[in-house]
Amino acid sequence: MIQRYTPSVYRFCARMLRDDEDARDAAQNTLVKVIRNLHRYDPERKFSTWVFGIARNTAIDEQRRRRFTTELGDRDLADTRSSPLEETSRQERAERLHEALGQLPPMYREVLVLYHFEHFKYQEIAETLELPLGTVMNRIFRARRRLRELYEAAELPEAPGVHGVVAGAGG
Amino acid sequence: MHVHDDLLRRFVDGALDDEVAASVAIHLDSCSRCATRAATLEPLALAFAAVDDPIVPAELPHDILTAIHAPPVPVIEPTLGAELGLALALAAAAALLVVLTGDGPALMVDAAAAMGGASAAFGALSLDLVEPGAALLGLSLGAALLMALGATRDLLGRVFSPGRV
Repeated sequence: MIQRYTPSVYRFCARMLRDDEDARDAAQNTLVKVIRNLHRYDPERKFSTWVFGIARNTAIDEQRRRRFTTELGDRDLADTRSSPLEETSRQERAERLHEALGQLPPMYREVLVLYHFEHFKYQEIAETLELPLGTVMNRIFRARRRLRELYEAAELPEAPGVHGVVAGAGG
Repeated sequence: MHVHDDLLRRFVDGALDDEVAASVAIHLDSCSRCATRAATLEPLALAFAAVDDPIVPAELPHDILTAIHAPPVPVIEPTLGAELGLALALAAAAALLVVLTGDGPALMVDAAAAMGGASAAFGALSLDLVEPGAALLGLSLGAALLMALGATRDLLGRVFSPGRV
């Protein structure tokens, strides 16, 4: 179970907290809580939504405990498998989205992360957050709208790797 | 039966009311074809696809197993004696306030002392330092002490300052 859930829980925490050390702590605390509280698991509920409910609460606690400022490094976003120009555009989109997501309030960020990155179904998100589906949908719509605005307005951070790739391709 | 294009577009745009949106969401959860169509309508679909997953630290599963097998940190439960001691300390602090500020108008002083004591008690409660019963006991003792001190002060005032009203 640890092997199965560690990657997804870590990814979720990393995207919520945007700091790899905090994400690591939150993921570890989440899975320790899961194991130690297995007797409290309600089999009527889907196991993954129970785990992510704990992950979400743990990430919120972690966020309160430490005010995060460190961004995840470029290594988490870059993956050069396509052509340099395609990669520039792809990386630009990724960085823009990363930047916009980081500016969203956590209550909006969590629904988008669960849906778009962890591929949860809408009803699973509702179960994870213990909210009615209508409320979750409303939150997702608001989150998407806000994200689009932030994405359009996002100023890209200085990315030396990108310029280097483009310059190298041109020369 | 699949979701009509227009309805799906309005769903993606967030233009549906919560109830209709929830119905569409239930359908999308069980219909991969409509879910895929909805995903392609999402303006930021390409951007979401461009984001790579964070790299999971290789040693994390091992660290988690180690943490699971580590003995849990013992929780120090406050004893009844400690709680009573704290409650008495709170009451004494309230009484001390009255003694130290005894020159002001008696009612204001008592009120300030009572508020101080109550704030301390609720602060201790919120920090889980004391049980509610112990805090109430402390407040009751504090109130009793205040009344006793007030009565003593009035008596002394009458004895030493007979002209004062």
